[in-house]
Amino acid sequence: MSQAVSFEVDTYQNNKWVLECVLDDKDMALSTAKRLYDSKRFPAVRVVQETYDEVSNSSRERVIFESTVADRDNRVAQQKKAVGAKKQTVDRSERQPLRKRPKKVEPTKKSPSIWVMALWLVAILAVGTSALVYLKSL
Amino acid sequence: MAEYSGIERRLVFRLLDYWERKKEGRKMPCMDDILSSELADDWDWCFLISLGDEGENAVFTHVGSLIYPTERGDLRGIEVSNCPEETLIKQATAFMPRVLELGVPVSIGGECEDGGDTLLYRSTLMPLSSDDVFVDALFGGANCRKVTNG
Repeated sequence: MSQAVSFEVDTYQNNKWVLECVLDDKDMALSTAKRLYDSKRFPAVRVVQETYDEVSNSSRERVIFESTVADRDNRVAQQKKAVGAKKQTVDRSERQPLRKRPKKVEPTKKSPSIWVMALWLVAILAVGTSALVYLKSL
Repeated sequence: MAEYSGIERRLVFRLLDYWERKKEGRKMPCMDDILSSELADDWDWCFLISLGDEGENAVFTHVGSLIYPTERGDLRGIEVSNCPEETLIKQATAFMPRVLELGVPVSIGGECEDGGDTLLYRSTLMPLSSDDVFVDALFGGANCRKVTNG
């Protein structure tokens, strides 16, 4: 085989990438990187695929996975948002059947009672009598 | 590589985790940190190599009975360069120079011959240091399964 492929797992420490291990299996490298990242000991991890060409004696590097604290924060925020959205939506089974709003009962206007009317009559008569007596005395 | 999705990978992950735990803030653990009692059944799939000055005279100090059956002989005290050909232990130590060069664990898998059988194997080799500067020992492990025809 003229080309050899290996996968380097790097962690970010003190402002530089540090090689953690080398594997020839992509899935294992990705799994290792994710486990290192989940340990929360590193702000970022990455997997670099290195393809070595034996004929030209040269190698080519390509980052195939990278995860940072920002990614983790975003993921947590998205999860929280998803949970929040789920809470806001009401499941149909939880919905109450629609009910008609009860009509407001207008208070019926009561006519003044007979006693009030009699009182008013007495008052008017008293005022009228007083007025006549006053006029006669002039 | 899909064939390695089972047991083979899990041993390597366990050994890598163990090595990582044993670092305890250092770049790498030392040989005394590797305890057979903590590795339980995995110990039989593991091996330890002691290195001389400048990484020369690499000698086996432990070889698990499952990685190299005891009836074939005792490899303890044998130089790694004199490891029997067409064996799993030979494959598992083949990338020793790369581990010494990089100073980090290396894991390799593939197909090899062992005792007349064709095996699919996955191995890992991890550096050890007593002063956290120079690699003076190696801790490795490998397991495998026979390739079945048809």
